[in-house]
Amino acid sequence: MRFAPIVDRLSNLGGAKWAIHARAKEMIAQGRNVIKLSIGEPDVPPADALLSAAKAGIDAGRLGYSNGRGEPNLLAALADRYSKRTHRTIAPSQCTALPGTQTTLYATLTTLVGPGDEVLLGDPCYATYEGLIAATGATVVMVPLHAEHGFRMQAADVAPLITPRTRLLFLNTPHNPTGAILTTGDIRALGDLAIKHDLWILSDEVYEEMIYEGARFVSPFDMAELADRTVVAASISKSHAAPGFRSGWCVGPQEFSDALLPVAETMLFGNQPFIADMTALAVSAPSEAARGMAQRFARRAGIVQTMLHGKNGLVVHRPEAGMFALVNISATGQSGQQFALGLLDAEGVAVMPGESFGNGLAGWLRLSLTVDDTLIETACTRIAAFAARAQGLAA
Amino acid sequence: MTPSVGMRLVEGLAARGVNCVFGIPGVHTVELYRGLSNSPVRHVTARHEQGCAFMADGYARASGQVGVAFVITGPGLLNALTAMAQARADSVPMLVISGVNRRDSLGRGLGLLHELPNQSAMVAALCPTRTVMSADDLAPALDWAFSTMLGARPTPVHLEIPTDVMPLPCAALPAPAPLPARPAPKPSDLAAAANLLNTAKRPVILAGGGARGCEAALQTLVQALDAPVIQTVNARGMMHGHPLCVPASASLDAVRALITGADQVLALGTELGQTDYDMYAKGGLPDLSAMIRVDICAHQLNRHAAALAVCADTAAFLAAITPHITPKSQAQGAARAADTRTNARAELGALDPAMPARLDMIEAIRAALPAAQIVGDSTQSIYAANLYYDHDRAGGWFNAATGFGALGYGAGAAIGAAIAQPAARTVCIIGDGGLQFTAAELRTAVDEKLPITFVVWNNEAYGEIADAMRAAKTEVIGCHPSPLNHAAFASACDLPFVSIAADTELLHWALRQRSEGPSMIEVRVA
Repeated sequence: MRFAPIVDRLSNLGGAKWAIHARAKEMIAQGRNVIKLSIGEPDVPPADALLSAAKAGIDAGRLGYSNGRGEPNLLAALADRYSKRTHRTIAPSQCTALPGTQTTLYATLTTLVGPGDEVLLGDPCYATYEGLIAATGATVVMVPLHAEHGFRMQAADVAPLITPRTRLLFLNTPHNPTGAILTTGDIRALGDLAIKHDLWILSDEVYEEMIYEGARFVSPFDMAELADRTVVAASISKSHAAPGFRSGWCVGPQEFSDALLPVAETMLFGNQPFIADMTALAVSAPSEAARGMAQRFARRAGIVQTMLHGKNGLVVHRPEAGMFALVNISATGQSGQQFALGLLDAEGVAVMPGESFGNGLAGWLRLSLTVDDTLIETACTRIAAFAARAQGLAA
Repeated sequence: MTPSVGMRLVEGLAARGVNCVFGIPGVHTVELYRGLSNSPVRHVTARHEQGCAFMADGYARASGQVGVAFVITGPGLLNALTAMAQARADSVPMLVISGVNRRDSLGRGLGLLHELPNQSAMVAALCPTRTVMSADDLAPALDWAFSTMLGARPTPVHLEIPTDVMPLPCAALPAPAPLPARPAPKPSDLAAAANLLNTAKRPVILAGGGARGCEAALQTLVQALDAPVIQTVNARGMMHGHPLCVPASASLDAVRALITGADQVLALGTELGQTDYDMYAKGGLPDLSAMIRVDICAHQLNRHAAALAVCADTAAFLAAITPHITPKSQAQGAARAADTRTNARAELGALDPAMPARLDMIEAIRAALPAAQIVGDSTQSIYAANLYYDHDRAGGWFNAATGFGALGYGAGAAIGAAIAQPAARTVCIIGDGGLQFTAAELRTAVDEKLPITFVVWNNEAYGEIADAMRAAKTEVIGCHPSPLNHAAFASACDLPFVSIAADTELLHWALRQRSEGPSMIEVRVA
């Protein structure tokens, strides 16, 4: 039997990237003691108030169909949130609620690009982005993100990659897996290119609330000159420690929102009213859960920095936001993949090889910061020892 | 001050039509450079002597004149040897002028700067070489060099000038000796050739590098004979779009079938070399022993059996034979040529499924920039087009992927070609591996503000070699040097830069971007 071309387009973009995570889970199932730093899951449950709101919604019979954009109360809450953030009036009709950021990005990209189009995407990037773009039939054009620029996308690296086929600039700020936050200057320069070449900007801001103390988040959507070409996507999965609820949204110009509606209707027809109630509550105030996580993750990033930066040739890239720290292991002469496999087998520490997030992270490891400080410390000790042995050094 | 040998040398070159030399000066050649002061001869500074001699090669091919390189004693000359060998393989007239240590030191091993045991002997194995031993010897040496380069099969020539000869006072040089006439066909050979050609019913012509510059005369003969004309790489660009043109390699079965089906083959200025006639070393080239073979070089004529071997310059032969040809009445040559073109092109996909798309990219350049000079390095798209491609400018298609096959040829040769043809757009197609052989020369193009588009075919590999290792079922080793970060490299060279996917429309767009001087396009090959 024949399958649609999308199957071929996605055939090499699937689960192979997660092989080490899968192997770690297997080892744990066999009773091995493994410190799992391979995936970032919130380290707290959702707030009681949010769970209560969802339960109350169920009890109140909020179980019917939504409309294509989502429940009016959630759209109003989102409009209010983004009006405050942007200092412009954002209408509820500019907001669309969908099950999770991943779904939102899929619907948004399907609305904005298709076969023959080129999408500019930072390398490294979150593991599903390439697949999201490939699914639409558009072509991914990788923009190298350089460690010396803090992995912040630079307009000078983007400009030579723009062709008549370029339709969309895909941003992710704060960035997974590097924890980089684009500055106002970065975004203005990128925005100038978008205006000059009439590009859409898609900004995945799912880590917006998880920024560390001293860092500042800015969004292209908040800049008036970019508002008519920018779509932002986010969810409560990270900020409210609620990934299992699959509750996300996008906000953009009215013209975009109107174009998205028929696409969203063919996919999902809105979201679940009782989850919308919970989400409306969540987005109407800053997240305490996010604040707590940001503090803990920042502290653990500091531990990684202290224990590994400069140790046995290792280099740590310290994040400004999010759940991960990056460690460069090039000094060992191994690839991230080789090092991560060896580390898991020899030391029982599961980390993601940087290569899973693009060529731009070759020779790096991604460490999740979502486990206890003591486990982070133990993992760092083992990583340092393994790096030493890999180079024939005394640990 | 009395002019020196070095100064008179530059005058002597100018008197022989040289208006540009490519060089890198050194302390040994200061006196040569004194001659360039206030001279009409332009000096283009290369970054490495190999690039410098490739520039002279490209200049010679694009202009039809002698390309001249100035290099220092020892390292400079040896660096140029590879490029001189490429010129020898492709019969390119190139004059390399180097220093050599003072006369009383030669052969004595005194440990002088740039010293070699026997410099001219090292070159003599490759091409003619001569040492200017006195001021009086300068004029005869120049006359010898130019008659050697232009009076017979073109070749590189080396002149070396000892450091103690260069500053010697030198009287004004006499006028250049006239060049010897290039050999014309003997009347008996002409009559025999005319007889064979007039009785043939299905003749075919093989045109090689010796036919360059003879487009009009060739076309006249070809039409009279109703003969398809198969072009080697060095003959491409002539008779673009002509019904009798077969711009395809005799390595292809379809082209060989055309030769086999002919009742008379006329070979013009071709050495019947492997890379044009049997690229994949599979043998099976049709028996050519009944051919009429015209070549300027008597030695060359002895290397293959022929029914009639005519020692003559191709231009002289074409001029002499055409009046003796009775135009054919039947017109089936165009049909034979058309079938061959169709079948030859179709063979590319069978050789490698990726090859047709590579040819499409070259044709996109022709469409975007008509009558451009396309100067190639050894890279996949050039290999494809060398098998089949009809360029639209006579003399506007050349590369080093055949013959001697020196990787890194493209950048320097394109610079030389652009200087020779300033009104033309020049496109240099070079792989990411080849670029790293001579990347520094791109900066020369920037200095000279040359209208060259460097198209970097980035397959992140020595792709053709990797394919060969895979085909030989051996592990692919050494074939993946990391490519340059082309954006950063272009920026370091002050070259406008764009990076595109391997797509004909995008290439067309990128080539049409306005750019006064040089620029770079990276083609990302999946």
